[in-house]
Amino acid sequence: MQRASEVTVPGGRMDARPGSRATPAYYLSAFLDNFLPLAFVLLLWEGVARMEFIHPALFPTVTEIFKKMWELTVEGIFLRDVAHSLARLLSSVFFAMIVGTLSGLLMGTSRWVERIFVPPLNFFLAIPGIAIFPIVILWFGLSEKAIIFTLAFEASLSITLNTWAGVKSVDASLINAGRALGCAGANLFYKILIPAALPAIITGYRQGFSRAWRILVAGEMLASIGTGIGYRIFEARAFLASDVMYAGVIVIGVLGFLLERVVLRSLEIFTVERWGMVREL
Amino acid sequence: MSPKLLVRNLRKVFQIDEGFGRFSSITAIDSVNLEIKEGELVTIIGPSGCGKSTLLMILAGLYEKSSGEVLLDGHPIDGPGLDRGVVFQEFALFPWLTVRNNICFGLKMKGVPAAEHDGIVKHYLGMVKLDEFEKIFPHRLSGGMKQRVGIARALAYSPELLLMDEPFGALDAQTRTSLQQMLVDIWAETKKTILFVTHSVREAVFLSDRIVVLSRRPSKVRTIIDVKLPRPRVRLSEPFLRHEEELEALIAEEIGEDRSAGAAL
Repeated sequence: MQRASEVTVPGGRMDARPGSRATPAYYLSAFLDNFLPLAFVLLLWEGVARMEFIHPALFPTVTEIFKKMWELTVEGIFLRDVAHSLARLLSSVFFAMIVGTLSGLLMGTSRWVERIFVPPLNFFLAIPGIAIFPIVILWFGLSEKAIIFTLAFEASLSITLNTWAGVKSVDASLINAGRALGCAGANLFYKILIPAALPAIITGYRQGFSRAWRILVAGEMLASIGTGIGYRIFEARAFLASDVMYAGVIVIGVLGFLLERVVLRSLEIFTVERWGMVREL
Repeated sequence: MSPKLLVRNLRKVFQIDEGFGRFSSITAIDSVNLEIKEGELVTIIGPSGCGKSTLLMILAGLYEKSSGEVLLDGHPIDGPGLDRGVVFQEFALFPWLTVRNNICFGLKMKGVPAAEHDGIVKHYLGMVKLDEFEKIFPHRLSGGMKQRVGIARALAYSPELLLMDEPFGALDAQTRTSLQQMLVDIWAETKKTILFVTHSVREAVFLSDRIVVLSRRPSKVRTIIDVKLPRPRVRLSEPFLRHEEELEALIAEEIGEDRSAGAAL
């Protein structure tokens, strides 16, 4: 998209930005960019599986996996699993966004908050979220709460770290300009610091999502909570239902992929990339 | 008539954190006295690192002074305020706001009714000749255009005093010359009081009613030169070049002293 931004001639005319009104050709190329490589992998898989070098129970064909996925979907099991997993993920990351963004902002602006928060932040960052899961289970039982707490804990650390770093590296001249234009206190936060640190904050959300997503699956397995994709995979193991296990893994991959490419990437395109704060490639 | 801006015995000492628990202090401004009249265009010039930008930042309220007095229209300046407009060397436009919203920023903070924003934005964009660029994000503008937006943003909420910190320092020679002319035109039209920091003698002679020459650090006012050249000024005219030469010599003297003392720093 860089092509259209070569219009900085004084008095020159401005082209409409291509991203502001997407054409059908844009959607087609976006689709091909994203799915062609995946389609290739699936095709290769299908071919190898059909040769039956490996026992089909261990390595089923893609068609079989999708057939199973369809069955599970029709039975309503998969949709419920996906919905529950996503609900857990989104609610915990939502909490983490609030906690992480606020604490990161405070750390980035107050020397005292920074001094107090840095040691525990580094301490907790060193601990994999899943390591505290057994302790969390002691508190909350084998419940929804235990999963959400662990996820939120994990994601909020990433978000705090990135927001903190982002706020610290905000150009001093932007803060000065904001103050000169009458910003102070809360105004300075949401009118200057948050938008100026947004590239780093989005990176934090991205990391938070992916870390939470990983732990979610493990958490669902450990908590044996009855629903969720992680639970489904774990349960299928007991019956050696390899097609269900593969189907579950694929769904996890696809959902993670969609979260990144559709939600977070769009957020990035419509904010920091449009503002020229991160480079478009 | 009482002065628009009065600076008395201004002093600034920076505490510098050297890391690992060591601190040192550096006196940037020793004692500066200054009086600026309503509607004057005054430039501050001095050897590099002499504290001229520090002085301007204190007047903007962005740095705290160590001691002394700063009065704008008789009221002490304490912190930043919308009675002053600031133009920065780094432009400091907000990349997440369009040109229009950058200019509106101060208006909103001042509480100017939204109905008036349109007219004000158009007026000042016209003044800096960027009428067509309202909806553009700053990253798509050239350096000169960015600074024109910076000037429009600082003027839009009609501050009493315009503070400009080497605003054209980052621009190429042609852009610089044309923006200097634009500033003089804007000044003639708005009759603002302008305080302008520069390190370019030619720029100072072209723009100023008076030129404040600061000494090397810790800075004092070394001399104040009245530029009695008629306007419009021609850069290559004989009186212009004479002024430029005089000022060059004065500053060279200061820098020379700086060099001899440089070993101690």
